[in-house]
Amino acid sequence: MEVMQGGTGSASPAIEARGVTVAYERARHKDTLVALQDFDLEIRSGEFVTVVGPSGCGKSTFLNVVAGLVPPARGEVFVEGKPVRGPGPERSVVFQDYALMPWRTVEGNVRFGLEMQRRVDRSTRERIARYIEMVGLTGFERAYPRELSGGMRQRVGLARALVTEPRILLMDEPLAAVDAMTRELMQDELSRIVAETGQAVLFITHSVDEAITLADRIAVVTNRPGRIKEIIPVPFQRPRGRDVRNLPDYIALRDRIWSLLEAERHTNRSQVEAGV
Amino acid sequence: MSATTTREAETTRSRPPAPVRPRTFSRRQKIVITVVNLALFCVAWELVARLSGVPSLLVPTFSAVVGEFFAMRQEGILWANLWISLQIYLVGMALSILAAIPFGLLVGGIKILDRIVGPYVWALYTLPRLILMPLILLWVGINDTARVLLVVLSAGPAIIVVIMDAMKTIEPSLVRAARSFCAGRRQVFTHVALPSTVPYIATAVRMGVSRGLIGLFIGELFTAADGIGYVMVLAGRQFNSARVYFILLVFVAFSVALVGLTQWLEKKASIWRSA
Ligand SMILES: Nc1ncnc2c1ncn2[C@@H]1O[C@H](COP(=O)(O)OP(=O)(O)OP(=O)(O)O)[C@@H](O)[C@H]1O
Ligand SMILES: [Mg+2]
Repeated sequence: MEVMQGGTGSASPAIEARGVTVAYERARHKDTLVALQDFDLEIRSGEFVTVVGPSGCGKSTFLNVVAGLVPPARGEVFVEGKPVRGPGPERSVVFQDYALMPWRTVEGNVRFGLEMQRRVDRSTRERIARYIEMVGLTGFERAYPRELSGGMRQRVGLARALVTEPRILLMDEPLAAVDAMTRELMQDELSRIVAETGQAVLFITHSVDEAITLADRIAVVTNRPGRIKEIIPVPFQRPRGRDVRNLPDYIALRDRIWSLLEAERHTNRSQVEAGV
Repeated sequence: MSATTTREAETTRSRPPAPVRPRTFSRRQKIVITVVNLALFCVAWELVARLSGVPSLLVPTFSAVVGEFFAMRQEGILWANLWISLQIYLVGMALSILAAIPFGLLVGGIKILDRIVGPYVWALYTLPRLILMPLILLWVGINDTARVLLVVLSAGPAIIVVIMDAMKTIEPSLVRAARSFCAGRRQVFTHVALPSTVPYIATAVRMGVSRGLIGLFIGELFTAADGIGYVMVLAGRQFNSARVYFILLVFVAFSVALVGLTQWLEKKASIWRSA
């Protein structure tokens, strides 16, 4: 599988976020809501970083900033050493809410990104078929999104992002709606592809096991306004099988992340009680 | 439907289960229902007109109304006048659709234009068409142009209004997804805005088609020396109520046919929308 090779020097990290702050104007509440505050994160080229944190802490917001879809109020994000001014073909996004075009079939949706980037050619058909097969949707090429289950839709979104073969993948809970069995298969498949192509990945998830199974490093985010609470390296070789889950190191790592998240849950509660 | 039925054919062994399908009437059932419905209506009309003792000036018998078809043909005033009205209507509708669709897309799609032009369109849309009559007579006089203009002024704003609204219902998450794949403004328009408004464009045309018919009728009442509406006015003056009813039926049948056609178009345009 060929991937566009980096034009810029491989010395600069794939993603570098420095002091990113995002505030949303909330017209109806007549206030601004600070979703992210001084968020720093670096993802080296070829690195797989998973992000975990409480709901509403600003994970999707951060991903959107890296995607070039939301401009930060302060701070800056560099992608391959260049400041982000908007979306780019070296990045692909898997959206939390799928965002499939309802008037396009599965095949049409997977083709969408290639069309927008004017990269449709003779090899496109075969390439689309390959990715549809990868996400296990062969036989549903002509189905419209409304005819698919939630998990199937999500896999269309995954295929749409992968098919452009970007150097950087931005994935917002891409397997959240997928059933347990398929989810593990997809994790294996994703691990394999990413390891093969050396893509850098920013991967948001609520599943601690998924975070550990996939990542080189795990970023734990605080409550809103989101900041990095801790970055934890995963000591196992990648791609890795599910058997690591029985290792004592794995279990210790899992406990550690759980307790970090647990702590955030408690601070959240005390904030609510204090009327903050 | 029982809970055990499934769509996946490969999971079945012996007999494939009945596929889950939204319950609708078959084509045959629909035709039967329509025919029976119409027949009952005609018979009821005939009976009421004959037996109730209402003067035939108010309610002529159904057979007398149908008889007008032959009478008008005999007098040579049926086809020529129908043809004139049809021409005016078609020209007016073609102009409305061709002008209003791009206009609605443009105004609805550009926020500042929507702010500036929107209120005028809404004003024109809500304005009773009759109020425009004296103005139109002043501008263009009593001729075919006046009638075409009335059709356009009736249908156009209705089409524009629906499309303008449709442009506001575009899902922001889809625009965002398109942008994430580097779509520019033009691509967002052609690949997100346009496809998501297509079903509404069909709805807009359906709205326009019936409003245009009202415009045509008003035009024929006031500004014409020919056309089927004009014949109707004459018949009214001569107390030929059967003829008035007959022409009324022609209008109704025509508009029902048009609405049916546009509904079919609407369905074709939105297969992806609902099951
Ligand atoms: N467009 C917006 N306008 C106003 N507020 C927003 C907007 N988008 C997000 N927010 C707010 O910003 C905060 C962070 O949202 P975000 O979607 O980034 O959270 P998240 O960490 O992805 O949560 P989850 O895990 O539930 O997906 C939330 O409190 C949310 O209410
Ligand atoms: Mg989110």
